[in-house]
Amino acid sequence: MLKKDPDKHNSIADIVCKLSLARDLDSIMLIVRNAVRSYTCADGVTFILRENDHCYYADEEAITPLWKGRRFHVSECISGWVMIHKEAAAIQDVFADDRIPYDIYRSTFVKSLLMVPIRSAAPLGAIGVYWSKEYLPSDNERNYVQAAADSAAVAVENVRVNMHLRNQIAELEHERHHLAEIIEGTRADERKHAEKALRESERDLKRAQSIANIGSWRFDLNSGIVVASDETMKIYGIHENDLTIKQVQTIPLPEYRKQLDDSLKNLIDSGVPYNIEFKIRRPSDNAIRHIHSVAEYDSDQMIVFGILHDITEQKIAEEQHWESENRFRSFVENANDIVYALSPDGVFSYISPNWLDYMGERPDKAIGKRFEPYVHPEDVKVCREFLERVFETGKKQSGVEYRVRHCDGTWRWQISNGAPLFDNSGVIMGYIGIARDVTEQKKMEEALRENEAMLQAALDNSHAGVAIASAPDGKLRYVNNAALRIRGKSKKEIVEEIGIQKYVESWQIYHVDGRPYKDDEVPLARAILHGETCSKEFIVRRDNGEDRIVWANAAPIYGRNGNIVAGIVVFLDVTETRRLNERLRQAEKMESIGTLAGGIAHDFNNILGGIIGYADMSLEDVPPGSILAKNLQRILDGGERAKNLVRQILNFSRRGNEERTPQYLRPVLKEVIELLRASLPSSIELKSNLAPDTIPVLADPTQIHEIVMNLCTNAAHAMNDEKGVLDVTYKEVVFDQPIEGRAGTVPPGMYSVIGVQDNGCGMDAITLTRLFEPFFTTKPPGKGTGMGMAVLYGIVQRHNGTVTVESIPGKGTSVKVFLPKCQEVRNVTVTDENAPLERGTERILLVDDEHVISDMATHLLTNLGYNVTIFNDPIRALKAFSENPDSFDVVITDQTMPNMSGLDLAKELLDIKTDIPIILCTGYSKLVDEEKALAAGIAGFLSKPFRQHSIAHKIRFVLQKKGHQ
Amino acid sequence: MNRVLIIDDDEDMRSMLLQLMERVGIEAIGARDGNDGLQQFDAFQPNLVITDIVMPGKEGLETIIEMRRKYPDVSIIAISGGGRVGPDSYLPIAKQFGARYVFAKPLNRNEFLFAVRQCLSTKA
Repeated sequence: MLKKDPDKHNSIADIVCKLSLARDLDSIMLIVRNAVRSYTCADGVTFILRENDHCYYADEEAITPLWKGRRFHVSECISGWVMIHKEAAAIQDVFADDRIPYDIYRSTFVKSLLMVPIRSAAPLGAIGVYWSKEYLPSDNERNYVQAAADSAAVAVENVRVNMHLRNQIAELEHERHHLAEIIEGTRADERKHAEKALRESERDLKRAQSIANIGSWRFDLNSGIVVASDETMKIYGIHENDLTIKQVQTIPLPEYRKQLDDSLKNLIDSGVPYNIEFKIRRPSDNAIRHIHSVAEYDSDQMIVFGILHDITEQKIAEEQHWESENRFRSFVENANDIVYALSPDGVFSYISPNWLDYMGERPDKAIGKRFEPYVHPEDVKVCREFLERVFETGKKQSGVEYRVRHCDGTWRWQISNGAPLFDNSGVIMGYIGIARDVTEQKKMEEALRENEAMLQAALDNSHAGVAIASAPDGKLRYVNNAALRIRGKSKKEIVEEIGIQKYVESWQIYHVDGRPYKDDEVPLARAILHGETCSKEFIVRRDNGEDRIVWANAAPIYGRNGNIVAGIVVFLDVTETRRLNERLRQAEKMESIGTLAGGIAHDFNNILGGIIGYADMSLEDVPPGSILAKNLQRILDGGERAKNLVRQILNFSRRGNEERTPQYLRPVLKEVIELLRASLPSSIELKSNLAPDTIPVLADPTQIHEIVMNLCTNAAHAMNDEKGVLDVTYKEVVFDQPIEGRAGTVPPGMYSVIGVQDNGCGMDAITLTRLFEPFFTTKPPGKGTGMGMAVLYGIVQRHNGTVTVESIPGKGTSVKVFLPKCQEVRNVTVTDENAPLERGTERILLVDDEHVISDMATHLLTNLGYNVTIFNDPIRALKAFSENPDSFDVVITDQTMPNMSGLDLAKELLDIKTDIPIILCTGYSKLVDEEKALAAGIAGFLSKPFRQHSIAHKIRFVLQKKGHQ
Repeated sequence: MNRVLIIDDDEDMRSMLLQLMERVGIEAIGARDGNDGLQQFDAFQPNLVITDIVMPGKEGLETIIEMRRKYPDVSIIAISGGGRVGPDSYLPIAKQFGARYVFAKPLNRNEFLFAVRQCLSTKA
């Protein structure tokens, strides 16, 4: 096979052009066979003409001779079959096709062939294309050969007409000569007839020339005169005949004159055929005309005889064709889009050059291949369906999107429109498509989609509420989930048809101070109406009355021409933040007060030291019972109160240095309750519900005692001594969430929860806020120090716990103290509160200057079965004891008392009765060194406040030491 | 003869304690701070030193440490109104450093006098 060289291919337009210039069959056959062989890379091409029932193999070009000059009956050769059936035949194996006369082919190189009819309707002949190997020509090749054959048909027809006319002209000319001879002859009648015949003949000739648009001319070298036929004169636009050659030669355009001269000279001198195209300026109307002239030279008569043909219209048509073809080619080759054609079975028959730009390979590599390998496997189906739609409907289809594989392996997106290609008879012969590379667009679309998805996800999952409203009506277009959560309503309720006039009503917006908002004050409204970017804090009130503090920032959204097209508001629920900030502010305030109080306490103690000391000494110098003595006593009392206050301040602000040990709290609470029963007015019903302890709390029991006392005192005060219920509860609770309390947030875990609840007057919001502030009190002057809850706050914090307070004015208050359980309970020795209380019936002398304490202790001891005698003054106690020492089995005395300390009293008592068991109760004073006191004869110590188990145990202990049972 | 050295920067407190000592028949002198107290110690030779903790100049804890080193036989009672800046009490520390008794101000007279007598009747 020949090697294909695309650059040497003749386009069909080239063939048409060349054929239009061909004036004889040989030229036509040469043009066609060369073009076809070149295009198809065939090993041979034949040109067959039909001659009635025979096929004449008129011409051939092949690697070895075929059948040139031979004739075969139409029934015995494939060219005949093609002409009869008026359709092409492509045969891959000639020896497997019964249309082939094998004998004729056996001696040839032919293995495959393509035979196409010259002109489908009434074929003039056929063109045969042959290959020495098995080969099936592509659709593209078939189409090309058929187009060449069709073009050849026109040319052959033209040549035939031309030949026919030439022959006719020659015959007429011959007859004219013959008649002229007759005229020259002697017989007048004959001449007459002859002249008549000549005139008729000349008239016929003229008519023939006129019909064929062909003129004739004769140049007599002897005379130098050119004789032109009427048609020639008409074509040349001249009115005179018998012009000289010089005159004639002025009519062609100057650029052709030399060529005409040379051709004429070559014809006359060397017999070179005169066949020339040129242009003339027609003298009659100055029109430029294309002329084709052919001439022969009669050397005997020295006459040049020629014909000429006005081919202007044909040339114009050709030029228009060229122009159209060029325009199309330019369009296709310069277009951004790929133009391609497919055969009905999906094989590329044409691809525009920019295929290279988009696919990375030359288009000729793809031509002849099916489209599927180029298309992404997932998209092949949609492409096939698209093609089927084109073929089924016979109409243009558009918009199929698919991926194609670039030669670098990447996938590119294309979108294609396509239409069917029809042949002259209206039958679909293929598909033409135009494909656009939309990869970048797709990437952008994908990026945009991803961006949108990300934005949507961000908005959906944001904790910040987002609302977007259109301008200028402010109708809500978008509200995210967080916004709905903040408002506490569904989308349907607060988004649909909500414009600026309904913002406040729908979203229940209030100023932070509680005033209602105006519609046009809402940030989103301001952004939409005035283009303002503004931030505000306001309240959104939920339907259940819950207020959420919301911080909102709104901004306008501008359109391309600068007008406001929408507004956006982003808002945060800052309720918790504000609450935490307030709590932090409170905590900082408490901290600073604590620090300040600690500092003040030092100076206060010094001052009090002086006041109390001097007053105490002065009291000794004045007569008892005098006014001065009473006044000094008041100073001392005031000093004591101040001393206690400072102690409380220090207790509130103390850090560290406390000895906390694992403690079960239930016994502490029981003691407090016992104490309370003795001191609360009977109008207040005291209830308690104390659950058993399982794990101790690392605590200072004295401090726990104090906070519960403080809470209960406050509760009693809240009930204002009127009828009420004070409920003290204790339980152990495991929390799996952090507990948010007023003394901070504590982590999940197991907690002892002490609850004190009353149904008293409750607290308003301001009181609740300031509850833990030192010196804040609602009690009348002199009734409270305002340190009780502050001390509680300090103690709870130091115990790593927290406290919650719920209060409704007029309904009551509930305070819960949360204290964390010990992490490790190993080696913990605590009083077993479940063990039975040790009881007795002995007589006890109890000495304590504090009435409350002595009352409470009496209550405890009486409950245990003892016989108790109380003294609030140690001097009187000493007196009573000295008068009747044997009436007491045990003495329990407070250490810190006015006039005489517990230790002093003990020494006096021991002087009277050496074996009297004395229990010394110490509070905060560290004066008494236990060891030394024991050496001095004190039988035991008790820490205040008392706890039932410990006092019961201690009494039995000292009695046992003295030998009592 | 029992002698008591009272160190306190608070003049009222110092003079009140001096008067109290005088009332119970104990010879006493006052000092403004630790330095003053140490200076007067050699001349006065007290049996008992009562010292405040928070003082300008030489403060009480340092004074106790130095007294214990220089005069190991002397008894010391520390008194304090609490920290000036922080709320913590220094008294437990004073006890660790060698104060035999510690008292928070304002003082309980009976307890205080008991301690003073204890200190004067027995050696530190």
